[in-house]
Amino acid sequence: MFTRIRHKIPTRQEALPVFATILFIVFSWMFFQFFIQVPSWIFYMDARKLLVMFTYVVSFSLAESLVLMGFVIFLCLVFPRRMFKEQFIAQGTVQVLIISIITYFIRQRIELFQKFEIWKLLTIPVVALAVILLSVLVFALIFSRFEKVPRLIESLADRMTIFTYLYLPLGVLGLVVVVLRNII
Amino acid sequence: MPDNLTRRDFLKAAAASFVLQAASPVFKRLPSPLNQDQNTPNIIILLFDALSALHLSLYGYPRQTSPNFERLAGRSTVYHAHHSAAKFTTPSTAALFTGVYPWTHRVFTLGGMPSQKFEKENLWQALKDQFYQSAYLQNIYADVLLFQLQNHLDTHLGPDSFSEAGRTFYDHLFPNDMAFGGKSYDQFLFNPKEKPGSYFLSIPVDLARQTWKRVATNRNIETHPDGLPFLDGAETLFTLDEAMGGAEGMLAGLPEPHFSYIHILPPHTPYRPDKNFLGMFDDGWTPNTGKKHRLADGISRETLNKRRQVYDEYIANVDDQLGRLVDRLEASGVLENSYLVITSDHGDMLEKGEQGHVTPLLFEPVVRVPLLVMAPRQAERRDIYQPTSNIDVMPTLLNLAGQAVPDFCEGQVLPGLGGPTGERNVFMVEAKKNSSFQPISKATIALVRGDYKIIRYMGYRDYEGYEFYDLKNDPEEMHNLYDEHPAAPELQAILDSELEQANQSFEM
Repeated sequence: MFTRIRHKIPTRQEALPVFATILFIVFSWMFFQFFIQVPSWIFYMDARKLLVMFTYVVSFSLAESLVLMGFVIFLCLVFPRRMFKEQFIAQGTVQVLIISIITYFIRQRIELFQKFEIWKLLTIPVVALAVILLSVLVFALIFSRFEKVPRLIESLADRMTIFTYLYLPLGVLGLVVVVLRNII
Repeated sequence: MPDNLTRRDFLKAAAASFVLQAASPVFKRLPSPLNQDQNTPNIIILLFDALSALHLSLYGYPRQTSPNFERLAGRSTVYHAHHSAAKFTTPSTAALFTGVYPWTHRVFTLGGMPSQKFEKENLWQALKDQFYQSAYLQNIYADVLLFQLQNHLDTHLGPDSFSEAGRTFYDHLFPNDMAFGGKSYDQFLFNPKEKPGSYFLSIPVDLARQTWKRVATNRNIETHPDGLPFLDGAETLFTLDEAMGGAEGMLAGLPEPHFSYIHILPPHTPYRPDKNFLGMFDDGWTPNTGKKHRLADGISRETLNKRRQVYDEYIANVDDQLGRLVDRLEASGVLENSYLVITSDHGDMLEKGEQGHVTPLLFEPVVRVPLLVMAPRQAERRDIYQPTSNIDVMPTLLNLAGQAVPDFCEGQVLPGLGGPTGERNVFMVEAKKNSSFQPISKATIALVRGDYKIIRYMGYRDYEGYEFYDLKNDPEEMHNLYDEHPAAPELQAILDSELEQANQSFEM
């Protein structure tokens, strides 16, 4: 059982480009929203307070990226090896992009959901999960038919790894500050 | 710089200094030993958010909104012209806690933080060695502000302590750093009002909030046909009954003497009275809401009167709960040796084309708040008509606790509780559009002196200038007498001079 699971877990080389794509999306969004807020924050926060705020949000973004990475690995464990693990970088990157697109659409309609009944609200995550699972199957098929597609996606994901060297240390540094501020 | 400092060493040193700088407050946060005298009376502040004095029958409002306030007034000192220094929670509670006006403590915005000086100089710091300190605040902005003003609360109940559904993040995840926990998590990463800083996780969190909201609303549909009230900015649903019960529970078990602050959100929007009060003022009364002010949103008279009716019903609901709470506290002996201060942080206005308190206007409904101080074993009513301010609360409480009023306080001990009775200036400041680090240039500033009030509008694109009202003869502020009243120039000179003085230290 454990051997089968271990067999499906991606190697560090496979995981890094996918994680880099996640970091890129999570941190880019966070930075975008953060800098929208900065003009109002500088009305009452000095540089030190802004710095503390920054450490909180980057540490959270790191945690959020890890959660999403965990979900991608979970998908990898659920599906047969040849459908996910054997093309982890391409399949993982595509799934991250699909989750991002689904998230974007839900976000666009979030105010509409405030009028939904409970059962309608509960169908949203179910439908989202179904779309993700279906897309894994579809892309597994596409990747098996068109070899250039996964290579193209892999090269894209490879280029994202540069962001890891910036965002990962920032996130870790933020985490250290948050832990220090909260231990006493 | 040492010769052997490599680039790597430099980067390590820079990272270490960044960490130490950002984490520095941690090392200062240590509780202090108590020096409590068992004979000192307890002090309890019970604040209802957004409760306008002008909507209380206690102060002459035609609808019977506050029979319990009136009952308690029979053995309290009642202040008839008590003003909040600001017209929304954060600057107003900052004024209450620091004893200074917003132009001094510099909290201008909803998420504002007081200038560093007041993190050490405030009511909580002044009383911490003498009293056991406890707080329960339902307003998350006030709760986050409070955390910046004290290093150690003996008992702290978070805003969601007695909620039906929904949770706040900061008080559970970051109990030692609620100010930044609240600002980053609740007000940015998972902000339900604006686009949140979290791209992915904010979605399941929001869907979960929505689902629990529906469940709680359906569960309470019989008692709250219009829905449950919820915490502004947190989507945390509660019932007033539970919140008041929670406050009572907190007060019942405290060691004496204690200083307790209870900040109840109702009657703040959304106005959600329970079924016993819903519709009780469906009396067809349509008061004259006055002409639309040039800076108002232009809400129709019909809408304003409809809103007024529900606001009044919600106030009656609050009043009923207040009566029950005080009765229970009396029965359990909590009030035997306690000063009970009942007040609000600001009001709501439903006239002149404006609704609520998100407004540049400083008319009486939005700044005049109730103040009742019930002393231990007080049996008679005492009425004070002289204008007072919520910056007077801190010096008054320090006086009651036997402490000297610190020099930095701009307020004074309240008349009737040991303070002077002569004429004085009471200011109100609305400066949301200003930086805390710059002189005030776009704002509304008001001064009440005796029966008169002057309001200055500055920096607004469509409207600048002064308005002057005679509050005695025109309590609804319908007639601007700026050009004709002989007292107007004197009040204008005082107002301008005070503002200039407040701006002096911020001039470049």
